[in-house]
Amino acid sequence: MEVENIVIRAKEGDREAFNELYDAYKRPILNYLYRFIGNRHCAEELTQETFIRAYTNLHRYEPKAKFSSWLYRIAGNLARNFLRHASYDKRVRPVKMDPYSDASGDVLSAENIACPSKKPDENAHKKEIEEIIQQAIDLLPVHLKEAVILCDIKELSYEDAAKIMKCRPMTVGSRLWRGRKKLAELLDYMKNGEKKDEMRN
Amino acid sequence: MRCEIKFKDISLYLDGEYGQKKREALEVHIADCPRCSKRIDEIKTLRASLNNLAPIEESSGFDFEFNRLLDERLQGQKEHTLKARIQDAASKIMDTVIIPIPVTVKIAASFLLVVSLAWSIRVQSLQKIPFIEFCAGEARIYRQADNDWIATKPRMRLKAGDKIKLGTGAVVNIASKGRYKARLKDESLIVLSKLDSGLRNIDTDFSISYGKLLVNTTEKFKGSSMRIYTPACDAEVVGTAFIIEVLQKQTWIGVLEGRVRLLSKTHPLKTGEVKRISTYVSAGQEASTPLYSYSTMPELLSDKEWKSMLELYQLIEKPQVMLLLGTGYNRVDEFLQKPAQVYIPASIKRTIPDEVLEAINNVTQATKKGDLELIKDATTKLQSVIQKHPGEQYSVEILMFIASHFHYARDYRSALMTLEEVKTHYPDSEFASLAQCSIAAIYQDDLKDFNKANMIYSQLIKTYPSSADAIKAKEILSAQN
Repeated sequence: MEVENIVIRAKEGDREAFNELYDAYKRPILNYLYRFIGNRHCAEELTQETFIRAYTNLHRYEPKAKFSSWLYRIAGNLARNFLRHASYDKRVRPVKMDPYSDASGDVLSAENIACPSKKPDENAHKKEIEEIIQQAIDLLPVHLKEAVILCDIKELSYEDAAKIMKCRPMTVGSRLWRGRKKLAELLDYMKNGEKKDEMRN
Repeated sequence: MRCEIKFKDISLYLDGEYGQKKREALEVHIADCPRCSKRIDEIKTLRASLNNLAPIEESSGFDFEFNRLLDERLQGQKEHTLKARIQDAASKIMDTVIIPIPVTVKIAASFLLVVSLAWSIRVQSLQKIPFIEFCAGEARIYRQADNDWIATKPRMRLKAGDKIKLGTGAVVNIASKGRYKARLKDESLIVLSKLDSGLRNIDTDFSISYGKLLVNTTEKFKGSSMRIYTPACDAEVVGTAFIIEVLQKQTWIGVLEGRVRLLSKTHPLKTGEVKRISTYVSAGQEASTPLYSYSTMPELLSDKEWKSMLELYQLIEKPQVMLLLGTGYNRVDEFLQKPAQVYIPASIKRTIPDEVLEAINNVTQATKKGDLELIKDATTKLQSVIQKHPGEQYSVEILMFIASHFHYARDYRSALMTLEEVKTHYPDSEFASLAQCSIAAIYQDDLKDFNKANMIYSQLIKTYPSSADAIKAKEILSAQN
């Protein structure tokens, strides 16, 4: 358990050891928060806050759980808190809420979501698709979003996700399928909406 | 047959959550059901696309900013823990030192504390209660408790209801520590009709039947009040130095500093509602109120009256040479009408060089003789002396004194130069606006340069908009239009 050893050193006040942990987990946490919030700048701020809280509360961490789960939980709590107050903060949703009004004009189909690299001109295209997916994630309710991010993006097991979300594994499963269903509907909605637009033109 | 498999089942099946039996049953169904196969594709695509989302990287400077924030937070925490440590120490002292003390001792200590606090408050308010500071001549005090007139003695504390009676030539000084001093003179009868002493203020009411009372208040008087009832009028004091003289048929009041409000009285036998007229007497003014009539319009103090007012400075001296001049908006007229006078308190005479005192004396002597050339010479001499020995306590006042005398001697050029000096070197002094106003007045009245005068007046209004002289300047400018 190499990580646990580093954590023990960090707990004793070794800043170097903590920096190792920080280097190892900053990107996973940053990406987790980015998917959660949908805004890069805020995600970075919250990532820093996550590690500051981790450092100052390191004495509370018990090695029963994985260190990464503990970090994800701190990040998740911060993100939830942040979104609760997000209606006051316009930085969070720079994109428009209504999928119909999205002017990107790109046809979103199952294959170019799944295999974006097959298409030529793929970099720009991929970016646009990712943006659309992120918009759809943004529209999910927070508890469903958490399950989808942890299980489908971070690819954690139900058990690991349950530890982070502080619920039973079956609850994760139920939130996950509901989240997937909603996400599929949203993406479908965007796709068909754009098709309708095309027909109108 | 309609397909009864829900999204939930497919999702859980794909995540491998179903047992073998259920899974096999599902697989059999899915093989036949196009709807379910489509759904499986859908979920797989979704999962793949989510999994394929490109990870982002932190922007440059992210680590640096994080370390800075962390250090900042740790610093804050350190301060916080220091605070907690102090609290700990305090509670430790509480536990080990204070709590073990027997209850009786604690009660005794707190009792002592309360008593000493009460005592200090009492001493504080007692200090403000007026007492007889000094008395000379035939002065008697009547107290209800004694039921007799007894001779006044120094350090006697006054009470509400006390009457003080003075014979010819007698003087009684009454002082409230730090608030005011009053002097009762000559044949007088005064009653201390009210005396309220608060934590900071003291409210005193005097009733004077006849006689003369001098009052000078200090800066701490703010918040306190003093009323003086006389047969002809009531006087209310607004932070002030003044003299009130009660004669049989009228009350005269002269004010040196601040303001006094006079309230007229009506004949006691007069019926019906009669308005009481209030008159404000400002610094440098005097007014008299005949019995059962209204006060006269306040007028400027005459020379002789000014001199008599100086006695007030003996009561409370300020460590400064005083230019004897009112503070009203007409002070520029007063200043240019006649040579100004200065009062030099005895307490600072030692700190002023003899040369300066002598030069001032020479100017005063010359003015008495009325020889303009002599005045001019003496004033020029004083000017050179003051340039040699400038001093914080007198420079501005004496410069104004010099300017006034040059003007009196009709040496307008020198007067203007001196006033300019006041204006440029002492722009924050109370005389700066007066100096500027005087310059304008000299241009207007003596040099007949009206354009220049008007220009200086408007400048004055701009530079010292809230001064009394600005009011005067506005008045003059509007009179011309």
